[in-house]
Amino acid sequence: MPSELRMIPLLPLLSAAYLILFGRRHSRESVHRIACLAVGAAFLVSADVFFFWFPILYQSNGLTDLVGTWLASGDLQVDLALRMDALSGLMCLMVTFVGTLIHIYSTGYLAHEQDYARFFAYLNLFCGAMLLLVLGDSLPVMFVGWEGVGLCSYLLIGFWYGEAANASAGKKAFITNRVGDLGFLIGMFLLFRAVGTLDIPVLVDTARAGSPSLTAALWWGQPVAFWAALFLFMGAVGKSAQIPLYVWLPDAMAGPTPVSALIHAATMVTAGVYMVARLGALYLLAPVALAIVAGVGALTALFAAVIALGQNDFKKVLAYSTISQLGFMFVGVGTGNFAGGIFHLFTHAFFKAGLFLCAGSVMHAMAGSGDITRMGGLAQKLPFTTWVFRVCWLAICGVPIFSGFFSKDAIVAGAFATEVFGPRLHWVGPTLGAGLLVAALGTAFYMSRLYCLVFTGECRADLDTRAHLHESPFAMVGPLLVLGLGALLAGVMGLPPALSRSHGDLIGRWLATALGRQPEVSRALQWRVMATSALIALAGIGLAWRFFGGGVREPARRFTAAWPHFTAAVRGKFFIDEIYDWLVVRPLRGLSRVFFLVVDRILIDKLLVGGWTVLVDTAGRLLRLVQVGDVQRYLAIFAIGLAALVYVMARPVAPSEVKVRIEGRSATVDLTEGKAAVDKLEYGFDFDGDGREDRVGAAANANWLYPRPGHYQLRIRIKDPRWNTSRTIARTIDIP
Amino acid sequence: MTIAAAQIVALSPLLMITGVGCLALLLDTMAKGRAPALWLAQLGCVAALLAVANQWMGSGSSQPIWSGMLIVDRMALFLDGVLIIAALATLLVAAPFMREHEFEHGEHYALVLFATAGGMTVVHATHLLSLLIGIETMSLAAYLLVASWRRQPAGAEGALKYLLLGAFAAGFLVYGTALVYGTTGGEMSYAGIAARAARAADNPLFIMGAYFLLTGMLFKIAAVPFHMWAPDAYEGAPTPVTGLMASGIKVAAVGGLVRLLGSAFANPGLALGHAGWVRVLGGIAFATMTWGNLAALRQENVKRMLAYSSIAHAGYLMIGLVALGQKVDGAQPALLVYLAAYAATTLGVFTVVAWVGRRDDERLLIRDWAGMARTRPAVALAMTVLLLSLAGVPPTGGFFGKFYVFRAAMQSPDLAWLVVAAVLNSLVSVYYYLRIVVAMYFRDPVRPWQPFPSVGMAIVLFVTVVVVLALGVVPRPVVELAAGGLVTHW
Amino acid sequence: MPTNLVVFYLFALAAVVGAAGVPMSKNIFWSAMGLLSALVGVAGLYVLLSADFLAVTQLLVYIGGVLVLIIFAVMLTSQIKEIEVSNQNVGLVSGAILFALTGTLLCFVAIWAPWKVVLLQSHETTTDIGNGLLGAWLLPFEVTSVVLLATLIGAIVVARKEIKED
Repeated sequence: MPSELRMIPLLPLLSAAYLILFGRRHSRESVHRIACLAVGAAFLVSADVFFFWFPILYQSNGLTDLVGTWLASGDLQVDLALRMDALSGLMCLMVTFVGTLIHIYSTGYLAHEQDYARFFAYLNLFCGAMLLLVLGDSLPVMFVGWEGVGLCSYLLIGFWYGEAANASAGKKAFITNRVGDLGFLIGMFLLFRAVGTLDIPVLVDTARAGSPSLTAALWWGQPVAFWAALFLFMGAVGKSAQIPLYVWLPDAMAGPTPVSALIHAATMVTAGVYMVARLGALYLLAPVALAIVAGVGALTALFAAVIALGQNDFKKVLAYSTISQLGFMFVGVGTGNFAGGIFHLFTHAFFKAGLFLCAGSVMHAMAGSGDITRMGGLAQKLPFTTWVFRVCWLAICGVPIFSGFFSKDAIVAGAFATEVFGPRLHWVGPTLGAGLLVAALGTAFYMSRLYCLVFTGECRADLDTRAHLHESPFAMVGPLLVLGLGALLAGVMGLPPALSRSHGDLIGRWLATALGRQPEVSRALQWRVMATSALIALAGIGLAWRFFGGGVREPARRFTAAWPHFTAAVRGKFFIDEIYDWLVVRPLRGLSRVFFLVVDRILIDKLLVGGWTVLVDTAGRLLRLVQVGDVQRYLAIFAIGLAALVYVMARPVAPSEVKVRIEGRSATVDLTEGKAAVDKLEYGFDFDGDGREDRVGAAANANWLYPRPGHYQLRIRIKDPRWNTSRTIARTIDIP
Repeated sequence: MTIAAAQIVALSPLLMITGVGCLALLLDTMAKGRAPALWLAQLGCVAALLAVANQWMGSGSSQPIWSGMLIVDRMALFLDGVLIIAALATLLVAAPFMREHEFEHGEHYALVLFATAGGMTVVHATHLLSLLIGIETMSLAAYLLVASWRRQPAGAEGALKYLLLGAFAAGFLVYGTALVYGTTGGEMSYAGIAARAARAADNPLFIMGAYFLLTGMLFKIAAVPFHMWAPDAYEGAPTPVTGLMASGIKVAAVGGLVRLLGSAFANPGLALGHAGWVRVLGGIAFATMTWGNLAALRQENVKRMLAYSSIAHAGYLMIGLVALGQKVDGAQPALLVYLAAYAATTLGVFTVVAWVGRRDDERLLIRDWAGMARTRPAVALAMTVLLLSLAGVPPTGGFFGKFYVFRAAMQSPDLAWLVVAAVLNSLVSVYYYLRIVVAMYFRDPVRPWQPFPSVGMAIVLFVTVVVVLALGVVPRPVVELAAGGLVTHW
Repeated sequence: MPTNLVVFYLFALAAVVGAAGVPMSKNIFWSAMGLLSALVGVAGLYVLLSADFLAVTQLLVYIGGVLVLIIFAVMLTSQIKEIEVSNQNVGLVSGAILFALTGTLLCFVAIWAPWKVVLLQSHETTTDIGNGLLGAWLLPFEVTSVVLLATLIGAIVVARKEIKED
């Protein structure tokens, strides 16, 4: 098996190490040459492995590169092994390809940056960690990559640490992600306890076989698979910015734009989707967990789309859009349509990276400002950027031919057709599908609004900025063009079978061995979904054009105007517009504002994030009160602690959980289920409340046959002979 | 009673450390300057380390010494290694630190070795008497080391508090020993106690004695609520001594607890039964890590913050002890790995703290660390790695230590809550560790940086960072060592 | 009441009252006297337990040595009575609560414990202790010397003047 697999993550990691240590000694040219070459070489190696072993990847479990035994203790053995199969191979190609493009782009974007070497070192480090995440053959290896990308994200968000907001945004991202990681770790422990290994292929095989170790009930009647899947999903929620942990992503836009494109759009944030797809077999064992995944995804898709309607910062719109699109992907994997989710991940990487790089190009031209109300008419000034943006925009809106159309349809159709939820939850799939269609309408609308405000109409920037508008250098435009091409063409990988019988659903067939069965979608449904979503996309674009075509148009402006003009507007000519305003725009904008203000700002920022800080703060203050430096007080606390210890051991601990089982007239009382240890205790059971103990002894259970039906008072006396203490538990018993 | 030559050889690391401590005292009075005593002490550590390695290779079986007073086995040798390395690192860092702060005396080197000898006695002890004497040797040397920074008023204050509270705790240790001795019919060896524990457990006095012993030991690892001395003593002590207290002394005390709880009180009736120590220790572990982390959040003084962090780590360590009590397979090796990783990390962190301060510019507040990354990128990077290790972020040794301990605890369904609490706690801890990182990387320097150059400190820092990273990337050798295996492929 | 019980209670009273007097007395000389009473009481209890060697050692070391040293120090230090006690925090109320708490628990344990009553065969213990210290317990006995050495150094470290200070 090819040992060059290890070269793929190693190349960028080595380059990162070199640049951190010696980067300052090199000129800018050599720095970016080293960085770009490392990622480019990683791409070439992945491509080489991928195409050389093509049939093996397709048909089998893939290739393994065993670097060595990483850790082994007792029954835990984790190999440091990398695996390339159909899924990770595809991801690997995507990460290195997009990564290379963004490295090249950064050489132009950050041409005036001081800390040039540091930036490229972090970027390389990120690529290496991401590749480790993708290629890791076991959950711990994956986790190392998982944490590594989080760390790089933190470092890069805070890259321009001069502004306090950036540093705190980085911290927010890191801490929010750690909340998710907690889930990942617990999920990992649960799986290890149940299956005894953390190797992904073994886990997947165990899950596919439906092994009882995974289907045994754990807590609240749900199987191990459910809890493990749920906790792992918690990790995914953090990393992939889903409700309720999405808050860090919009703030993460404080980082340099290439970082937003690479980390916060194309690769890292999709790690959660990738992980769920990777462990798809596990999720299929737990339909409820799948429903939660899909439900959270759909909710996020809708919610973020609504928020995006009201944003005026170029990158913020794209950030909420990313959150929303990730929601789409989670609906894909959550409905068992893993290939669909991965397909969308793939096309999204192209068009969203393209959009972000366009944003970078625009902001580069606008002297760093991202305020879309100050833009407009940039199409003439930035021709290449505009063309790429158009392609990516149409792709994300889901206009036919463009890649986003096919991948979105694959998810929606899959949601309508899915049967993974079983008969009891069969309504979940169609509901989610309908929700996604609404979200798609929102997507088309806000993206078109963005396009109209930025590229059409008159330029609203001040004269100084307008004088300096320029197209970006070739290092930036080149990658843009490639990404635009990708956004246009990536759809051929997953054409619906209804369109092309022989070349349809290539990606689904490619991933079939790696991901297992997929929902069957009938041809009629495919056509219906295609038609509906095409209509929806066009409607969204049309609607947005009506409002914002060539700048903020009358209806939109009327809304943004102050309240008193409102009645005048109703009496105005454009009655239709007023209806739109009332029925569509205002509720939507209002809802957007409400969501943004109430949920995002108050509920999450203030209560969840802020409240947490306040709590921690108060606790810290209180604890400091105790630690005043007074020896007497220290001794008192020591003594109180000791007294508490002695009390804990002296107090009569007895089972407080009483289980009563009634069969006919016979009642069985059982105390052994209690949490406390029950040895050495003496029990007295008085079943009929006559004050006489009917059963006495060391047995913690007893049964009694009642002579006649009625209410009885059950008294259990528990005596601890060691301390000569006893306590009594009373219950009433109904004998029918 | 005679003592066989083999036993002397088996005890050679302990004897070497003690002997070299005495010799260093003598040499210091006779030789000019402090250097000879220092060199002797360091050489003694190296020699003792070699003796440990020799013992490790020599025999795999455990060997009781002096009719069960002490034992030489793989666990003790592993911890001996950690303790001696901690002492060596402390010596390397302490010498330039004391020179810079002008309170260099040769006795300090001897005291470091005596503290280490005490710690080694603790981890070898299989008898309450040797445990007691080991603890006292270690503690007395530690009190004095804390007090040695005479110019620092906080040093005297911290030392006095440490001494007073330590004496109080030692009282409980003795009282507990007496009660256990009386109620087991004259048993003080762990094996003897274990044999009679089942019957003695009917006697409340025995239980109380056991808990008094536990209290005395918990005081040493700074577990809540017996931790109050730690922040003051840690802050007042010379920084290298703080490093020794947080690493070596804690390692020794945990090692002693592993022995005590793992053999003398391992009886399931005692451990898990009616208010067994497993339950009690679980509660204390939770309280310790939570208290430590919450209190650390608001600290502005780096040493104090690290003191609370060390309290929190005592909580995580106790999870391993609880798992041990639950008879989880692999709990003991997991704990040993964690101890090694934690000791390396702590030594490194305190080396950095010692390194940044000048005689008139201690730089102990977090804001004093601003902009270190700009002028000292390598040290800032090292500190970041070490802090991430303390926070338990992979791929560092701190992560693996936690990972092993938590994984062991997860084997027992009763401990799931504790693990969740611990992971949540380490989540909270990220916040305050990151404060230092943020100060180093994301703030502009307030004052120019002129740390004093020292080869010893540089060596310690480099080695600890390498060890921490190696433990995170290739933990296998250490894991095998902790499991008592002979690593042949070295 | 048998005589030995009376003697026991007398010694116990001396020990307890003396111990209580040490922290409660405002005058440091009376504190030292309280310590004397406590130590003598304990020595007496040792005698009643037929621990002759221990009792004598207690008298020799603690009363003859440590306590005399303390009293000398108190007497020789000028104006020790006028010294300002920086920490006036005696905390009678909290102390009482604490005492009640821990005391109750300890009594609780003591009362419920199954005491084994054995009639003591009184014989002199010095030989046994001597043999023990140089035989079975030699190792800990030797290690104790390290403790003492460390303490000795400590006394010097704490007491000496900083050489480089001025």
